[in-house]
Amino acid sequence: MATIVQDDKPVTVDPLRSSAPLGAVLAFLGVARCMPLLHSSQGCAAMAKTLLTRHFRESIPLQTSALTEVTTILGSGDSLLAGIATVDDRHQPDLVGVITTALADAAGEDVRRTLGLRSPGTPVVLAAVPDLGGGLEQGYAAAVEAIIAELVLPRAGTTLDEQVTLLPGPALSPLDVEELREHAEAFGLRTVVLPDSSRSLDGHLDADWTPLLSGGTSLSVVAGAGRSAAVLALGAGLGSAGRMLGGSDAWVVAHAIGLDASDALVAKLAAVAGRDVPDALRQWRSRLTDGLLDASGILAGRRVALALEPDLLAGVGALLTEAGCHIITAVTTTAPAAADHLLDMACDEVVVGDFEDAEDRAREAGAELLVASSHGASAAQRLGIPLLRMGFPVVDRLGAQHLTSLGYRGSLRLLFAAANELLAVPDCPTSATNTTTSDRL
Amino acid sequence: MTIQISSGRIPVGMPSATVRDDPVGDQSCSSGSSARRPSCPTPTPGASSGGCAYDGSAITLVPVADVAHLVHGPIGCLGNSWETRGSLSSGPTLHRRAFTTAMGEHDVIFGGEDRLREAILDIGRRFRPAAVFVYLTCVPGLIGDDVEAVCRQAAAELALPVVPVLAAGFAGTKNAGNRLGGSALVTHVIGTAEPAYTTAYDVNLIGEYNIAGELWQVLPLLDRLGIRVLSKISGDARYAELTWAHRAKASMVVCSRALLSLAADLQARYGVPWFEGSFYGVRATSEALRGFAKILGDPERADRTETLIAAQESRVAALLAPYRQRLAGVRAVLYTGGVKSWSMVAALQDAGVEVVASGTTKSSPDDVTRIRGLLGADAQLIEEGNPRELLRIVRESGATLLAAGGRNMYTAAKGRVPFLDVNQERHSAYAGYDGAVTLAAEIDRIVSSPVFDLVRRPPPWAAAALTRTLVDARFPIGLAG
Repeated sequence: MATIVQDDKPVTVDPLRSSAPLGAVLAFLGVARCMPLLHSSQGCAAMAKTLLTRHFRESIPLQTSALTEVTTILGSGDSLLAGIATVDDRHQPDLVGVITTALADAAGEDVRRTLGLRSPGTPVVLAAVPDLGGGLEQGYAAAVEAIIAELVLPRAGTTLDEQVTLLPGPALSPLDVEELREHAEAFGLRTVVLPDSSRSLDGHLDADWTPLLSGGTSLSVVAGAGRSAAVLALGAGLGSAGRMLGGSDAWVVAHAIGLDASDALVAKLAAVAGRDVPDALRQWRSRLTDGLLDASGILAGRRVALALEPDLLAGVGALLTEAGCHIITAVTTTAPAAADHLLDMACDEVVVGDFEDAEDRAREAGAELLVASSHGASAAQRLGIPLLRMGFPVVDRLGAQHLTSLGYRGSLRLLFAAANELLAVPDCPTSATNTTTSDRL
Repeated sequence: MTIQISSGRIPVGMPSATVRDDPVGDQSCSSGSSARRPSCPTPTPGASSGGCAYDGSAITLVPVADVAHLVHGPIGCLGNSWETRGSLSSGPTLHRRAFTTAMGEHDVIFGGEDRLREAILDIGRRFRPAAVFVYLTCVPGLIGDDVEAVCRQAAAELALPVVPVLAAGFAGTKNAGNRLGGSALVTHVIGTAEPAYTTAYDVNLIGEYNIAGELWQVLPLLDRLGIRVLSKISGDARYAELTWAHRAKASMVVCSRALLSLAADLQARYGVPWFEGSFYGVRATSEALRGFAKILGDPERADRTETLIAAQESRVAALLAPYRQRLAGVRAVLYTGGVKSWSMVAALQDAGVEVVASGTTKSSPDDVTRIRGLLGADAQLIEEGNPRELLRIVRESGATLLAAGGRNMYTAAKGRVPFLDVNQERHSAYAGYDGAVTLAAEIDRIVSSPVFDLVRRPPPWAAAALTRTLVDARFPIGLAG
């Protein structure tokens, strides 16, 4: 049982938190032919675009209302409308996702009213995100809720028994989203995935460069998201979104990482589909259990520090705890409103802080492995321990969008990656050349 | 009054180093007035990809390695941009720590000055920096946080320099931010201390950021000419050396339109003459060395310089020869901002690459003239370089290489075109004579890769009728043969 500790120090050093608008952009990039547009000065969009481009190694569509000192005060609404019109004109997107920022908020503009003045054109969804207090998960959730509010037809009409709506949270990489969809399809279910980054941010080569991503959930499919027999949300912050679609029956979990959480996902899908668990999933489960035994030889008793967004923190923590690790440092970005997944972690404290907090605590507690984004590399180097890269941004290695953690298969990949990081340390006491699993049993 | 160098060795169109004592005038964002220059475009809502003034000020100042750089604003400003630049330090790495006040709602409602003060004091006590630089951003700018006052108070309390950098994002473009960063140095830093000693050959380098260690390719050359770099603005710099930049005998502005104003200020206030140049490419490097010799006005040094240049040029010509042979037939489109355009054109040509088009966004009329001179009269100049446009130009000109900033890396990849990164995020050092060889080697490595042919070929199992791709008879086969 953990307690959540807020770090109250006067200055943030090496921030762990990403901005909420960034989370909203991520969500919009899972909607087909969407152009996200930040209502901000141009720098916000330029920086977010650079960061997303480096992480996904993709051309990222992102525009801005390009507010200046003058227009912020005298007419930010005009800039927003002009921006939308230009985007419409140049790219003909199916959707423009407008995202507020701290600047627009501080300027006190009523963005919804501004958008109400717009003459009809491309659909626009407004995501009002908490740039001043929230982080990636909050921004992502705000965008998903906005998409549902604006684009999903009200929950009337026939429920489709064989259809399930899946709401993947920001902890799911594009290939995790694909894995999630394939889980449901393995049970014979049809899926509405919202948002779906599995074909938009998976890193694939089209016939030519295009200004908008290919892939993502089309608006026509989004419209039917409320007619599913079940709604599954994988992200603690997506509870509201889930309930908008599925009422109190919506199934909301923080993650599906580790044996227990993967079992829970599979059990839920089996119940929804009213079918047995397919053979392929059974086989993957047996691979995970086998892998847990193999990896435990290396991981049991090892001291691990985590610096991750809340969903991922809970999930990675769960898996590594199953393998026998001790989570001796857990630092995260925000204290979410629904925080059971953090309170349930097998560590003493979950600290809402920055990388300096993570490093200080990791050093004090004698961590042997740090799990974090690429921003953790300097800390890991100073600590003299390996860094297992997860989360956002991962920019100093290839394949960020392929860093899976979901289900039996993703959990197994993550498990082996953790064990291999430790094996790669010279003079590792449990190196494969010295011991075998059977020796240690 | 300008003094032209004449020398048979300068190719037509190659800019000669001119000593400037005329006002910088229209050629830069440096009039000092807050009115926007007509050719500094206001960003277009919905069609903008440029950075902001805060970003520009950070580019100019964050390389100062023993300073704590504190961003006053919400999390996004620093959160989305730290650890993106490749400026290297030979010593302290405090500049790579990311400090921010991460303003919240409370700060916006009640003002962020208290939080800022606490942050500066905390940093000063815990990290003992040589100075603290405080970067204003849009939100505190809008709500009227008096950053200057807070900096003054904190400086007094800490007995440490605390420098306000008033370049809030929405104040302008990245270029404007570069200039404002330079202004902060002139206003608060330069002239506040004296060097231990001076020589007749002390110079400043302005606008050299030691990307990928490029400064270290240049310093040995200056060393051999007995030229001491008194103050580096700001690659591998320390705070102390900035304080005595006013004691240099000359400044060189390296590839930086926006920092001409800093050089002009040093001249106006302290009489330090300056010239512009670049270290990209053999010709530009030689011209820069001649520029130093001329501006320092020592005939003996000028002779030494010519001797060094002759030796280096012949050494490098030998090293470049095999690359020039391998790269003959490579045609490049160059798309990069401002001053880099003409210097990179020359550098690419030195590697044996034919440059068929060059970007001129953010270039001054001077730059454009220089580019035309290098490329020839029917040079294709690209003013608006969105990805679609760039790929069209690449295709139509039969180019086999796109040299641009990291933002266009995936434009090239999606278009299956070899890409050379020439911007801040790169990891290869291209400055000086050795850098010219590195550049050629890097281009060779990139264009020789077999992947470009591989990915243009349809799979053998595909249906006969294919949708139109970029497989095109005009694309030469890759150099891998």
